[in-house]
Amino acid sequence: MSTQLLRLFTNCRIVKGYSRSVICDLQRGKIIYIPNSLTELFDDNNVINVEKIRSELDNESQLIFTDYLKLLNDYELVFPCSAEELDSFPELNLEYDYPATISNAIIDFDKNSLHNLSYIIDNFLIQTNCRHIQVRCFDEVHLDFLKILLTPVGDSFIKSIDIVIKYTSSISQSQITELVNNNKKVRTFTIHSSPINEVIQKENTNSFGVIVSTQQEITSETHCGIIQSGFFNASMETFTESLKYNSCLNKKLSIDSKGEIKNCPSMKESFGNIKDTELQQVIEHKDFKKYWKITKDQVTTCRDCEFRYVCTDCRAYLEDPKDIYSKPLKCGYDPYTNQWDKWSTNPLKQKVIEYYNTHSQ
Amino acid sequence: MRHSIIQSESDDPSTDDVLSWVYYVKKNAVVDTLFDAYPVNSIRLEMSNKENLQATINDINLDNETNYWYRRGQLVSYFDTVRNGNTYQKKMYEETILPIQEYLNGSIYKNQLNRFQDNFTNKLDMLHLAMSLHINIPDVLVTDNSDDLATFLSSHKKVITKPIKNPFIDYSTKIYNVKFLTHTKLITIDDIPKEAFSFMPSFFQKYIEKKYEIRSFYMDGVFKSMAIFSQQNEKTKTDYRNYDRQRPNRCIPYTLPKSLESKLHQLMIKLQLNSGSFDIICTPENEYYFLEVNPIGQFQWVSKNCNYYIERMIAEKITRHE
Ligand code: SF4
Repeated sequence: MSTQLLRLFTNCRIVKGYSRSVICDLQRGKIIYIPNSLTELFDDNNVINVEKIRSELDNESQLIFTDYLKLLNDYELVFPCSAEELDSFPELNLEYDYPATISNAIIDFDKNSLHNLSYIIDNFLIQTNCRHIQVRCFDEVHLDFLKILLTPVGDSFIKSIDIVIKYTSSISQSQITELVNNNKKVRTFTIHSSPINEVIQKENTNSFGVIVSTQQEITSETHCGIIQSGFFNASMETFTESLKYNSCLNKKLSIDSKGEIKNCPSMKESFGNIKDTELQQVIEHKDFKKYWKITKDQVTTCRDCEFRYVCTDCRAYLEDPKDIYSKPLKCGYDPYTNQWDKWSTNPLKQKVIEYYNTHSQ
Repeated sequence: MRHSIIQSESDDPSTDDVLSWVYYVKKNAVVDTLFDAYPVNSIRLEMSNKENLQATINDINLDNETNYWYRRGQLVSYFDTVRNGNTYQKKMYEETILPIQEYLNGSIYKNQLNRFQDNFTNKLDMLHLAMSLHINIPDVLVTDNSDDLATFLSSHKKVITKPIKNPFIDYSTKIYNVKFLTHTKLITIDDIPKEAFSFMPSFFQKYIEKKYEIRSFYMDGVFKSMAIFSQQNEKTKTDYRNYDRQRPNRCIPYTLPKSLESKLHQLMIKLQLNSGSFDIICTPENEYYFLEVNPIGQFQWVSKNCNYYIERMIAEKITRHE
C-alpha cells in the first residue's frame, strides 16, 4: 500500500459549501459531512494521493489525515486504485432526463372544489406522460369521495399517488388501511390536523402504501415550501435534476383547489381554469416553465450551501418576494455558520411572512 | 407508419419503464404488446418476392419493417394443448405447428431486439466459443462422478457450481406453481457425495479471486458496463445476487478494455445475440474472466446505478422506424 491512490466512488459526490462540505452518497442515499479541508485533499479527478499528502504533512496533521481516511473507509466512499486503473472508471454521467413532459402533478381539493380526477387524468396527465400524482384535501372528505377518487387511478397508467386528507372522525383507521391496501398505487397516505402523530402503516414488504397521521395542519396551499433536513434527498434523480433544473418546480403541474392550473399551487400565476383551458395552452404559455431552470446555483445563499443538490427548492415563498433568485423563506439554515434556526420566529423574516399573509388570495 | 411490438410479461417493471420512454421519445408511437403466455388464435403468413413478408398474428399485422422487442413471455398457440396430448398428437404438433411457432420466435424483422430463441442460448456453447476467441474463462468441469469432482477440487482449491441453464426455475402444473432461484455456490469437500459414486451431471467451475465483478449491458456493439465491488462484503463474495440492503455493494460506471470489448462483440455475433448482459470478473492481477452472457438480462440495475438511461436507448431502438 505504498504509492496508494484512493479514488472516490463516482456515485459519491462532494458538494462544497461555504464552511463545510458534504459527500452525497447517491447509491445509498446518505449525506456525510466532511470538513472543507478534506475536500481539498481530493484532486480534480477525485483522487487522494495518500503517499504524496503524507510526505507534506507535519506530525499533528498526520493524525488528522489518518482520521479523515478512516471516515472515508468507514462509509466506503473510496477505493484503492492504481494510476493505470483510473481510466477504467469513467466519470458518472450527470445528465438528467425524464420520460415525461410533466413528471409530477399536485391536485388540491377543498370543500368548494368542482374538478374531478378522471377528467384531469384523461386531459392533462395521459398526454404529458405524468405518472405520479399528489392529491391534497384541505377540508374533511367522505370515504366515498376517496373511493371515487381512486377508481380511475387503478386502471390507468398512473404509477403512484400520494394522498393527503384532513382528519375526520367519520373515517376509521381500519377503513383507511383497507382503502390503501386495496389500492396498490397509493404510495403514501397522510392524515393532517390529526389529534396525534402516528405511523399507522410502515413501509412494508407487501408494498402497501405508508399511512401516517400528523398534528400538522395542511389546510391550504400556504403550508408548503418548508425546508428541513429530513426532506433532503440524496438520490441520483434529485441530485442530477438539481444541477440543471429547479428541484421543486421542474416538470410540475398543479391544479389548485379553485381549479386554477398552475406550476405550483402556492404561486399566484394561473394559466387558466380547468373548466375552460386546454393542456396545450398551458404547456405553450411562455411563463409556465419560467421557474423550471432556476437552479440552486443561481439562488442567493443556497449557492453557498452544501445541501444545494439534495434540497427541494421553493420559489413560492421567498426571503425577498421581489427577487426570484432569493433564498426560500421557510429555510432556517445558514450555510455560513452551519446553524439551523426556526425560520418562522426569525425576526428578520417577520415582515415577509406578513407580506405573504396579506397577499395570499 | 411502422409500429412496434413488445413481447414481455405484464408485471415486468423494466418493460413499463421502457414504455414510458417510448411514448416520450416518439409521441405518436404505435405499440402492440404481447404479454405473458400470449394466446395465438390465428396465424397468417405470406411471402412473395414482391411483397416480402406479411404476417398476421390474431389481429396484429406485421412485416419486415415492424420493430420488435422480445423481452420475456411466450406465444402459446391454439394447438398447444395438442403438444401435451397423446404420442400421435404430439408428433403431429411437432411436424406441423412447431416450425411455424419456431419461425415466429426467431429473427424475422429488420429491426429486432432479442428473440424468444435467445432463451435457449447454451452456456457450454457460449464458453466454447469464448475460448475459441481467446477470451479467458475459468476452468470448467461437467461431471456426474464424485472422484472426478474431488480431483478437480483439489487441483483448483476453490470450485463453484451453478445451474447449467437458467437460474430462475418456473414450473407450473395444473395444481401448483413452483418458482425458485439457484445461486452460484462454493463447493467444499463436504459437499461431494461419498456414499453415492455418481450424481446428476452438473456444472463446476474454478472459483476466480476477484477485485471486482463487471456487469455489462450490450446492445448492437455498444457496451454499458458497471463495476461491482462485491469483495467489500462477505455475503456477496460468491454471488452478488445475495444483496445486502443496508450497504449494497458499490456499483459504479466502468469501461472495459477495447480489445476485450471487440472480442465480446465477436462472441455476440457468433451467438447471434444482439443484446445481452455480460458477467465478467476482474482479478487482483487485472485479468478479465468471462463467466457468461445472459441474453435476456436485467439492465435496470446497471442503468440506475450508473445513470446510463438504458431504457431510453432501448426505446429509441425499438421505435427507430416509426
Ligand atoms: S440554504 Fe438553500 S440549499 Fe441550503 S438548506 Fe436552505 S434552502 Fe436548501
